[in-house]
Amino acid sequence: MDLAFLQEREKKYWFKAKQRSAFKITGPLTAKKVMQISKFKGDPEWMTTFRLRGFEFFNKIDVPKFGPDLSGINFEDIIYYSKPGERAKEWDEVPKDIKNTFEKLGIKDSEMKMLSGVELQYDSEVIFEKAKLGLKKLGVIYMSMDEAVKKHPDLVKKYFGKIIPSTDNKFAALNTAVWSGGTFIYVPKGVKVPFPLHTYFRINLEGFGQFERTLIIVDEGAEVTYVEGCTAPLYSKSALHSAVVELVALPGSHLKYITLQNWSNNVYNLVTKRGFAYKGAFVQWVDGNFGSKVTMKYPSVYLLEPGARGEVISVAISSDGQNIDSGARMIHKAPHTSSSMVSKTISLGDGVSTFRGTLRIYKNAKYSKATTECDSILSDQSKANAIPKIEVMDETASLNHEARMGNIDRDKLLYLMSRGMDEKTAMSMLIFGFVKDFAKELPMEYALELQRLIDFDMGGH
Amino acid sequence: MFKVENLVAIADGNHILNGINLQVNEGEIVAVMGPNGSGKSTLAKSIMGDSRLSLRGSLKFDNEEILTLSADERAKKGIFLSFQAPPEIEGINLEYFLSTSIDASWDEVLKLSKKLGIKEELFKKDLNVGFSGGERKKIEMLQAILRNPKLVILDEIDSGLDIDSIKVVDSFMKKMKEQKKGVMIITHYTRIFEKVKPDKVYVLVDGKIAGSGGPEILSKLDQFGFKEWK
Repeated sequence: MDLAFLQEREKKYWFKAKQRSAFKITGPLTAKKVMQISKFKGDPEWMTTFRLRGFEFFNKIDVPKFGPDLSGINFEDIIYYSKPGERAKEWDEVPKDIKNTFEKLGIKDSEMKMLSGVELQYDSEVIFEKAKLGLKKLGVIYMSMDEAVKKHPDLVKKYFGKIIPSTDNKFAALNTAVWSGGTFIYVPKGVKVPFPLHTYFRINLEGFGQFERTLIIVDEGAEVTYVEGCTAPLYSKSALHSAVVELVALPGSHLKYITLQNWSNNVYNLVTKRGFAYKGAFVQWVDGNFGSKVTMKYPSVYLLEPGARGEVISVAISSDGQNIDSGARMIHKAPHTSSSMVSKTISLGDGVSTFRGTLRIYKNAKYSKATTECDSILSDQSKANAIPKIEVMDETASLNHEARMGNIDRDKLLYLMSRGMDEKTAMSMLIFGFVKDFAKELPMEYALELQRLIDFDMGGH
Repeated sequence: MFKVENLVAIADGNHILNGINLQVNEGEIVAVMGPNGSGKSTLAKSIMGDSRLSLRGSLKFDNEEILTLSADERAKKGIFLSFQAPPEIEGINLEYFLSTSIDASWDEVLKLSKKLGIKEELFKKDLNVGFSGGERKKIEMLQAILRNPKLVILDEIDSGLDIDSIKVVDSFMKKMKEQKKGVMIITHYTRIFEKVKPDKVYVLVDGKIAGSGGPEILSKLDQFGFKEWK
């Protein structure tokens, strides 16, 4: 590992800032502490009940039996909730240290004033949000999840925890108990949001757990693109990020959800993401994993009605000391549904990348189509695994599965170097080319960010 | 300008080149002729600096030892290798590749491409992906001109070319010679020298220079093949 590059990455993304907390709850977690969080947040009663049920399951369910080692998570002393300060109405009112943090991450003053829809979460709370007037005119609801629970209880109650029940897995249960922040979006019938909506998640406190909760509902024939970015400072103590993201794509809608995860190498990133696609709707996950110590994340699409489509395009780069276990799940429950999983993994140094894909086609899901494609590139000591699980219960299904695994092609490397590129630049170019299908799904500024992240990863080797 | 002395190249424990000596001077066209498996491509890659090869001996470029330099460092000193089989680079289109690897103005790139007969539609396609042999070789020549190297090595530039493309190669070789570049042409066949004659010919057999001389060697090769030197 090239130390200079790691330091540069730390300086750019994983820097430390002032530890601030106006109110916090530290483990071990108890029902009393869950109630304390609920009370502090001013939850309605149904939400308190919901949290307590989540807590019950959190105690009952074990950590997943498959995948990476999670024994490094110390549930006893995680900070489960921390409020950094008051929410600002105007960007100028955001406390200076927080503002500096976001500015250092490239979220500029000027952009904050201009961006059409943006939300910034710092530790447990959304510290700033801005929805352009245009959004309101379109009838789009775009606010923090906390606010939505209070302002739009009917809409929230209808879907919250219905796509991902708290019993789904230990981390979804934990999230249900202590969740805070996250985004709520509702796009009304037929409305096509003309620009992407952004949320930026930052962990700042050492030993912190971030448990945001996101729910996006796209009504009939509507369209929206949502982009989330995540970073944290590099501490020796591990941090936990355990989000729950629920998507609802009603008939004929299109929902594109983009993630660029660049957590520091001390973060356990254990996230549950699932979307329901109804008649003719299209749910698309564009999932980039470039950081974290351990990631376990398998965005899923449940294809519930005829003509529904699901797509996951994911990229994972695991470098020294990282274990990235990602993939997708496609569940076909209706006829004439189609899905596609495309995964590109890159393993460097002693990093481990695993693609874990599940494709399930139920008996009544006649004439469903599914494609799975996983490509891996690895370097000398790294590991790459591909674990596709295909369960097809209907004989009319048409399937296409491809998997490729290989080292960086030395002939290509020599070719690029013979045109004057040093080894790192040449490797970056090959990797960028390898993930091109992913890059083209990103808005322009994120494609540039992707290039930077690849350069950082390559720089270490 | 360029001198190879006792060059030994080992790949995966196998000796491919066993002590090569040759020289290329400014403005000179030098042919290295050899049958399949004689070590021709290894010679080209040894000179370019393929890190998979372990090299011994000496490579003097402008009186400087370059044996331990990496490929990019050698490229920057002025060595250019046109690959026998330029690889496909997925996800990186020709336009982006050229604009990041070459200093020349874009106008110049376009003008020259047109002259070489490189179709405009190729610029938006991934480098070499699905390109014909001729297209790939023309793109190599384009880069050879734009990078303005001192030594140009052409590894089997004539393989897989149609008649039109061979004309392009002919005028390319002439141009390189006029510009006083050292040109090393590594090939199996003599037909590439119909229009443009080499100043010097080396015959490479089993990783060794088995003979050398003037263009007269070509007619000998045409008559008897490589048997003579085996």
